[in-house]
Amino acid sequence: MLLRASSKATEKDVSLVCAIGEPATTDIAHGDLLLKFTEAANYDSSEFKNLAAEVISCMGEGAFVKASSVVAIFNGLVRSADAIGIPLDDVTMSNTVQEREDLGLNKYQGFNNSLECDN
Amino acid sequence: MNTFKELYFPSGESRDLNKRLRDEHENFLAENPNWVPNELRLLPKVIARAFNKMCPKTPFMVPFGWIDGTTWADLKEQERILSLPEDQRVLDAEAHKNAIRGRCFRIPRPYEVKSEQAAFKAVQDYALVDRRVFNVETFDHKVPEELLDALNACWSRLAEPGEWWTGKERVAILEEVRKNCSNNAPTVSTPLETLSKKPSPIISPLTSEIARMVTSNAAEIDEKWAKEAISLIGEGKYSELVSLVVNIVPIDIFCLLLGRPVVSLPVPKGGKPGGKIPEGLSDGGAFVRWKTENWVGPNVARALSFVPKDNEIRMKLVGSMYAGSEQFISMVWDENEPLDRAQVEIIAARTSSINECFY
Repeated sequence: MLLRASSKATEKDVSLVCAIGEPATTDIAHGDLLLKFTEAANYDSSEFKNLAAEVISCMGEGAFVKASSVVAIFNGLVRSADAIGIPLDDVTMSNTVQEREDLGLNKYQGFNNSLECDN
Repeated sequence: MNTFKELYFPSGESRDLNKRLRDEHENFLAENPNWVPNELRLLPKVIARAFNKMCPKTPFMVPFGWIDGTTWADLKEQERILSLPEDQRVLDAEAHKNAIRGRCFRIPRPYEVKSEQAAFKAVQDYALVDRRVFNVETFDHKVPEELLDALNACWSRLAEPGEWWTGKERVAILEEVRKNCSNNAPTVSTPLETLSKKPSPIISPLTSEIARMVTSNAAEIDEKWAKEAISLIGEGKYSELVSLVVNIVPIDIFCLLLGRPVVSLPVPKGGKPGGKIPEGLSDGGAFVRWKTENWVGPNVARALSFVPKDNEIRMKLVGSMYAGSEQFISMVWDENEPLDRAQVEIIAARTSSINECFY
């Protein structure tokens, strides 16, 4: 939802399927590169070094450090959400019915933690 | 430094201080034989252990970090000095600096042999050297100061006794987390009720399995499993274990992505767990109780309200690595930010999806 909200706020067109790894073009500057970088970082891919160098050359060292820190902290956030069984916030739950359906997110185990809010 | 003699030979005061620090450090090494200064963190443990054991028994051999003043005892001494009132701090820092200088024969460069000038600058200025575990020198890339602060605060907290686990147990859990992070082979979950609750030697097989699940298979955790884990070890221990996992995993991943090795686990600090349940918690639909009174904010921020100190450290990491509370509510960020909000969110969304996280 934050991806949708932030891209709307800056009038950028983003297909949310990019979040689940399906090919999609986005208006976000260097969006494709950032997606490849994110996948390589999460999958510990051998491509990571080249992509990191590309991020630095296209967007600067600060962008590389920030992108790395976002990947890192979200690896913590997802574990806290799943291990503690956090239900999705009410507003998010009610505003994302269609997107969750389209992206197939409701098949994730964590969806069961939010069922009460959905009913 | 005033006289020729003082240039080359330690004073009585320096010798006494060195004797105390050496004794303290050797006692510490007897209990922590794998310890090495941060600068030597890549040294294989077997070499470190052999060296640390050999050192007190071998003439003319000095512990790692002794010449540079980076032994554990020196760092404790530095902490002590920094906590003193200003006047006393200057005196004690000078005494410590002189003691370090007197630990070996140092030849000053001619231009340095002047009083009030920078003889042995690296040693004299030791108090100004950034000796934090994470500092600008420890990364090849420029890491923002706010993030370094958060990393150091977290690192220091990890080894402290928590509310439900001792420092030793916390570090043993962290070891388990690291073991699971480096093990890419798929593992089969063991039914929790079959596992022993007895420490072996520090944490039990049951605790190890819970740590493994949270580290490697968090997306598979359902209410049944979580409730069973909580009924076996307790709500407090479960929450604190989760906090340890979710604090160390991002730090290690960040280090690796920035092309440097992870930091050796900290030495556990003494003390007993507080065992205090925070006020204002109740059932709010998660597996554990959390803050419900007057709560405003995303649920993820209160996920670990059962362990407020660890949650605070976690949120400091979140603030510096992702977005602080003010940034979080703003969908358009300052142009000076290295990435704009949509760029950050595309990384966040993809990472969550790769981890199969619904939240």
